[in-house]
Order: sequence, then structure tokens, then C-alpha cells
Amino acid sequence: MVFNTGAALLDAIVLAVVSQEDEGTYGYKITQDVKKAIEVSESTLYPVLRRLQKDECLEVYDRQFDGRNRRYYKVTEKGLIQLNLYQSEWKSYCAKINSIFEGGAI
Amino acid sequence: MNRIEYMRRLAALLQDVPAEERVATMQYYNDYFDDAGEENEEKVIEELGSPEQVAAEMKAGLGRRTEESGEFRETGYANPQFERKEVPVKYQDTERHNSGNQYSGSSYGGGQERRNGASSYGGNQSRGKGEDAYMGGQTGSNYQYNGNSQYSGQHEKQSPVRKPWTSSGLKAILIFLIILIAAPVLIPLAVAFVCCVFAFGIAGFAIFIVLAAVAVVLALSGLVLFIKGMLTMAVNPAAAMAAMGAGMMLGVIGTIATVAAVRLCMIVIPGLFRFMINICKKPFERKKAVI
Repeated sequence: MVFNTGAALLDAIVLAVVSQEDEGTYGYKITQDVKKAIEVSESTLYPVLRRLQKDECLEVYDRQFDGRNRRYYKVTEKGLIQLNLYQSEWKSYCAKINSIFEGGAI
Repeated sequence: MNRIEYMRRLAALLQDVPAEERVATMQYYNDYFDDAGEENEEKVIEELGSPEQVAAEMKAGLGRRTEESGEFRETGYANPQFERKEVPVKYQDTERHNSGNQYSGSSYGGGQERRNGASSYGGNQSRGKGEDAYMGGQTGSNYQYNGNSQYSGQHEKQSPVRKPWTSSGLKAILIFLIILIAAPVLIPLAVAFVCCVFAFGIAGFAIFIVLAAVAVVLALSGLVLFIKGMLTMAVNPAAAMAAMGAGMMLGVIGTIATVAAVRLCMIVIPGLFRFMINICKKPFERKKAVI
């Protein structure tokens, strides 16, 4: 990818991916979903998830799956607020970049 | 390297992080392997990179958190950034040298607080650079404070007003009022607490005294049995001998138990008293520390 993904954008993408599942989702699936959108090294996602969890944007719970415990991640209320903030920031960011690309002054 | 070797290596590399973090990390990657499926084991190992890399990234994530200033703000998390308005004094010093450096997107800094978020995007573009990226983020927000300079003015005025507030006689009056209001509840509570402490102390004391008393009684009954045996020697020598033997054994056991119990009391009872006194002292010590 030409543009690199900053920490905030990565947080936003992860929050968005996790928020798409009402029941929550798990590490491997999150990684696969994020990889659909951006090139990301598998080992960067764990620190991101952990940080979001510590910031109380994500909560974790364990559920039985296939005879073992699988850790699920779920977006919290705070996480949703944060995601909304990211989304509106992203929209205004995109709009401004687009207007520059298309030759207009802001 | 197979999965087990990989995980073992990772565990070894994470020895120096807090146990809680280590366990969470290990669980995550264990899940990851499980969810990828056995057939993808090699692919996963390849994709994840070396255990060294995984451990380094994980530790970097931890470090950023504990540093408190850097990354947390760069995540664009809103609240801390809003809070930062309350300490604008600091920004005055940095006012000059931030004017147009790395934050190329300063056209955003039109003065709205919400631009803070945008500014942290700006900072993030150079995430790898660490310190630089942080500066970028800060520059972005500084820019705003220059924009609405009335912020700093306001807060400078506030700080001298606030200081005497905490150290004046008002505090004493407040404490007095609190005591006055709380007294009907606090005094009975305190009395009950002291009573409880004493009751426990006395109960403990009694248990050990009883232990010693039982031992003494054991020794005495042994002695009595021995004397009784001697007295019946003429009537029934066999029974007498048995009684005397039993009496001697009982006496010895009783004596040993007595010595042990007295020793125990000597150790425990002073300790008990010290404990009680310490508990009673505690609230007062704490108060002193507060004042």
C-alpha cells in the first residue's frame, strides 16, 4: 500500500471490524477481516487489541468453542463512541483531501 | 519450527513482562493457532514472523501505554485531549518553536476543539518515528491554543485563586462540620469497633488459657491416678500397677502439654495484645498522615 496506516486509523479499523459482529469476534477472524482492507503484519494486531481493551473500548470474554475456550472481543459503549468519532473525523479528513485533489481550495 | 516450539520460544521471550500480560498474549496466539487450523500452522508461523518480533511488538505496545503521554494521545482518543485544555500554562513555552514544523496539516487548526482528532491523525502519519510523531501530535494541538489564546489567560487567573482555597481555615471548618454531622454515626461505630477488637482479643486470650488449663488438668489427673494406684496396691496389685502406669503416662503427657501450652501463650498473648493495640492505633496514624 502506498499510504501507511497510523495508529489511530488502525484503531478505527479494528473497532469497525469488531463492531460488525454483535456477538463479538475473535483474534484470528479480526486479523483476517482487517487484512481484507489493509496490509498489516499479524503481530501488530495483538498490541492494538490489547490497547483498545485497556482503554475500555473493547471488552473480552471467553466462550466454549470446539471443546476449548476462545477469547472473544466485543465493542463497548465507549468503543462505539470512539468509533463514531473516528468515522466523523475520517469523513471530514477525506472530504478535505478530496477537495485538494480535485483542485478546489478549502 | 513448529507451533509448540514457537509458543515455547515466545513464552521464554516474554519472561520479563508482567504475568498477566504474558498469559493474555500466550492465550491470544494459542487461540490464533487453533483458529487458523492445524493445516495452516506453517503459514501462520510465517505470517506472524519470528517469536522475537511478536514479543518485541507486544512489549512496544506495553511500553507505549505506560509512557502515558505518547501513544495514548496519538490514538486520537478524545477525552484526554479535551482535558489538556486545563493545563495551558505549559503551552506558552512551546508556543514559538512549534509554528509550522511537522504538522503540515495545520490548515485544520481553525480553532475548533474537534480538530484535535484530526491533528492526531497528522501525528500518526509518522508513527514509526516515535518521538517525532508525538511532537507532531502535540504541535497540532498547540496550534489551537495559539488560536484561542483566551484559554491561557483564563486559567492563569484561576490558579492563584484556587490555592488559598485548599489551605485556609475553611478546611478546618469543613472538617469540624464533617465531624459534627458524622458524629452520631461515627461514635457508635467506633465504640462497636473497639468492642469487637477487645472481644476478639479476649476470645483469643481465653482459647490459649483454656489450652494451658486442659494440659494442667491432664497432668494433675495423671498424678491422682498414680496415687490411687499406690493406695490399692495391697488389694489388687495388677489393677494397681495398670493404674499407676496409666497415671505416669498421663502425668508425663500432661506435663509436656503444660510446658508447650505455656510457651505458646508466652508467644501468642503478647502478640495478640500488640495486634489489638495496633488496630486501635491505626485510624489515628492515618489521620496524622493526611494532615
